[in-house]
Amino acid sequence: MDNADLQTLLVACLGAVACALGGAFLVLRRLSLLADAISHSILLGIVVAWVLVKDLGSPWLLLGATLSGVFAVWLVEWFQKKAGIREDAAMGLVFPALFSAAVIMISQLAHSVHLDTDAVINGRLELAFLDPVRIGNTSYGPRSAWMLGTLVFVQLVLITLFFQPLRIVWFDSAFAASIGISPLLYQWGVTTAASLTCVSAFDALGSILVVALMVGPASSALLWSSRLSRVLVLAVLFALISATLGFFLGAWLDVSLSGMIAVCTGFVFGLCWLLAPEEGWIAQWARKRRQIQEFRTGLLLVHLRTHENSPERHEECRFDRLNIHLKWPQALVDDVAKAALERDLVTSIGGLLGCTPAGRTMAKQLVGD
Amino acid sequence: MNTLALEVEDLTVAYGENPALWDVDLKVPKGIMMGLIGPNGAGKSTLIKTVMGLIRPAAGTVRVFGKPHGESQSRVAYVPQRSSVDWDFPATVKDVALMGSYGRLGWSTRPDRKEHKNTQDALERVGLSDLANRPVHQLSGGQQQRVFLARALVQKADLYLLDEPFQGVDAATESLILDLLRSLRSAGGTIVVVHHDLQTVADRFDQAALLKVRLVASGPVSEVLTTANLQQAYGIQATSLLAIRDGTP
Amino acid sequence: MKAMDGTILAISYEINPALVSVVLGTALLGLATGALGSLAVLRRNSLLGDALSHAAYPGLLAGFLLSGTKSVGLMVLGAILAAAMALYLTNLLGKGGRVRPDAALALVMGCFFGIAMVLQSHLQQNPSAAQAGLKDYLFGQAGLLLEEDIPLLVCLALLVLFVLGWGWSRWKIITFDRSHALSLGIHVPFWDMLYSFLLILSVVIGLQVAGVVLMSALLVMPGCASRYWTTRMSSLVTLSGITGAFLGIGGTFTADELSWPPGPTIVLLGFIWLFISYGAFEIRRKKRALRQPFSPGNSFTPPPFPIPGKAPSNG
Repeated sequence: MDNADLQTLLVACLGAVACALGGAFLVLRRLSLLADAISHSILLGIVVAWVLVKDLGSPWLLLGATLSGVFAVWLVEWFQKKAGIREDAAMGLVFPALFSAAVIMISQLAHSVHLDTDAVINGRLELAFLDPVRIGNTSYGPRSAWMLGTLVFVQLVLITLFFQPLRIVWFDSAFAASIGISPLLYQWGVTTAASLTCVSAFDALGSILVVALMVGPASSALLWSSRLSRVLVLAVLFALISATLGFFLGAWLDVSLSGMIAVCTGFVFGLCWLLAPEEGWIAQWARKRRQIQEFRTGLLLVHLRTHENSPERHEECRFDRLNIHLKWPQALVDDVAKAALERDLVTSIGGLLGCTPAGRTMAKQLVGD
Repeated sequence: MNTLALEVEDLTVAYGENPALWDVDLKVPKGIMMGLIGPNGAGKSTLIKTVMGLIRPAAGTVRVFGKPHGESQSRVAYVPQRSSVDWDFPATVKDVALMGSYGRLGWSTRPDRKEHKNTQDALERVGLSDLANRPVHQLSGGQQQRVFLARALVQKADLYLLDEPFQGVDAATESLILDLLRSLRSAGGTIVVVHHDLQTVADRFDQAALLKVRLVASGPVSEVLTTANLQQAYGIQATSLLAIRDGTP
Repeated sequence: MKAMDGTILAISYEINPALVSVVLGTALLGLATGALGSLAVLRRNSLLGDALSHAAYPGLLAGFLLSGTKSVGLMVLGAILAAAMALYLTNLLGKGGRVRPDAALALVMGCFFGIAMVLQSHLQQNPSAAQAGLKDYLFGQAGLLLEEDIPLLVCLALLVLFVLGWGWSRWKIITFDRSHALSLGIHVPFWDMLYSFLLILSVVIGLQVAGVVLMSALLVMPGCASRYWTTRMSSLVTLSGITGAFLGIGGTFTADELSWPPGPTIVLLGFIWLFISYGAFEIRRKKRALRQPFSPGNSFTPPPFPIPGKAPSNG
């Protein structure tokens, strides 16, 4: 692992962390697809800014791109509120339109500017170390690392400073407004931050992979915890794992690093989805099985208790007739009844089942008497 | 001769993790109007949806006119809650009412003149024939409910299941719906209505079923709405509800 | 037959004959996606088309990788399988409330595209000459539509129109009120599958013309614009199909005239048409201000003829 590799890894990790932090707030607000809309729309801002300043290295490009991301979100809102088009359709309209405008402009400027649409989608993580920050003759690491590092730092500072109001707005914006915190201000603040994140990261990671990195780690984290602070920490952790894993796998297989990182984001998410302690598929499956068992016992008890003193008791509560009344296969009736007998919840007198006092209490609790 | 329109036996329904209905037994005789009452979350809508086959029960059976649901589907009309539908949908009043006829028609048969006549009659009965060509998103809440009712009328069913038809409708619509349901009953139909207004149960329905996850009581209204039953279903709220039932402030 | 018509057209209007198949192709695709997409708009899953087109791309590349040549059959098969898998995953993840549906959609889309990037970079290493055309699927190269592509597009358009017309009443009931459809005994899952299948098919076929990024616009724009002109589902779907076809024709001619890339031009034209439709709608609304007509959004308007007696109440 040489110096260039280390620098690339650094850029990948910083980019992933920046995306995870910015994306977490979008995911929490059910706005994951805004990441998609923003990342497609920034191209237009870059092209327009370039037409105005004619310099690819200019910070105006950054500003233009960020603004066009915010503009895209505003346009989506406008379509929703003023033109009566639903959110999903509004997004499906806005970003292709802005993207198309950008592609057309690029095709017209192709002879004078080297703006490669392919690079916008793919990113150029492998080449990031070729563009270092130089002061005099010494180089101080890749420019994108500095940019993303600053972004991460600013994000962390902002999140720390505004953690409480953000949490209140994100949890209940009506309440926030009632105590004098402007939800609008924070929403647009986060939108701008997300747009800036997309802009800073897409050069290295590519616009569509930014979406995976914004949504993936945060979604994984949400499977582990629902507390905002923990979600943020976990999202950063998962982003780092995905980036590192993706880097080494990509380098080993000699394929696109950013693509591999996105795949790893999905992989990490898949693992979380299966294995997370409470919300994971396996945990839920086990819980469901236990519940079904418990539920069937409860059902039997409730049934027995309902018909306890009724005249049809000899029909409804007979062991060999339960399969008809509960619509269960006989084997299931056997299992459930046996388990209930062992737990001393039911008694069996000559094939006629009845609740024990303990079973009666349980049935009472279940139906809420 | 089967005299039951609807027969629910030992029905248990679990929504995700929590049971919504526990071991419910309910018999609805033909030709009556039954109110299905109970507090929020008592499983009223769940019961109706299970009868319609929209939810699979965990245990128990449902029989409609003595047969399992699938075989008597065409004899049942279901009127969902008004809010369950996106009223922005591009359709006219007549379009929606006409949808009731598709259960009768084959795979891709277009509704013929007879069905159009049927639909026109149904709209007439709910007082919407003037608005037949109006887009549904221009309707008021009461008018939306009437369109749903017209759709159910077009189905020409024998058993009508209505989920909160009186919710958020104007007084005129309320009395219109009530008259309509009564005329359906006199024509031999059976009507089950999810209802939450205890005060009006006695005037409106022949029978009532009181639900609180399990069936608390069912039968003639006066036998169901006893103090003991209401206390069982509504718990602590019961005192104020009893006042409402008795019409004392 | 079609080609002959094309030649005649070309001669009489002095149009570049190569353009005719492009125009015809984009019109047919616009017809199919417009009609189908209006249903997606009504079903509130407009962005599904976007996710499917992103997901189809790696399948396309995998098909190429397996066959080693630009075998259309294998590539299309791969794309269909990949899109179907993405759809399945999106539904699986979004179910049960553990992962938000929007996050599931974005995540599946991003990851599948990540796979595409990996495959693409792998393909670039072995300089097989045929792979040059693969990137066209990213942005679409309508200009490459050939005469022999037309029959496929005709089949697609006919299939979409046939399936929509064949089950028209079911589509209508299911889209308006799913629970009513179920209560009528309509097999809703089957129709959902059929719909997804058509959507995947049109997205995969459309990739070559519109490209991955712009595919969703072809599905969504005609439906949204037509929503301003009509209040019935039958006319909405018809109008969307026609709009889609005209956008294809108009966009291709405009692109040819200005030498712009055709895919983005079609999308931009659609966007302009959307604004025109919205403007016309607003003007008509203002003219009828007294009758307080609707906006197609989630607005609720009071009844035009208030019922005497109580005012409608909610609660």
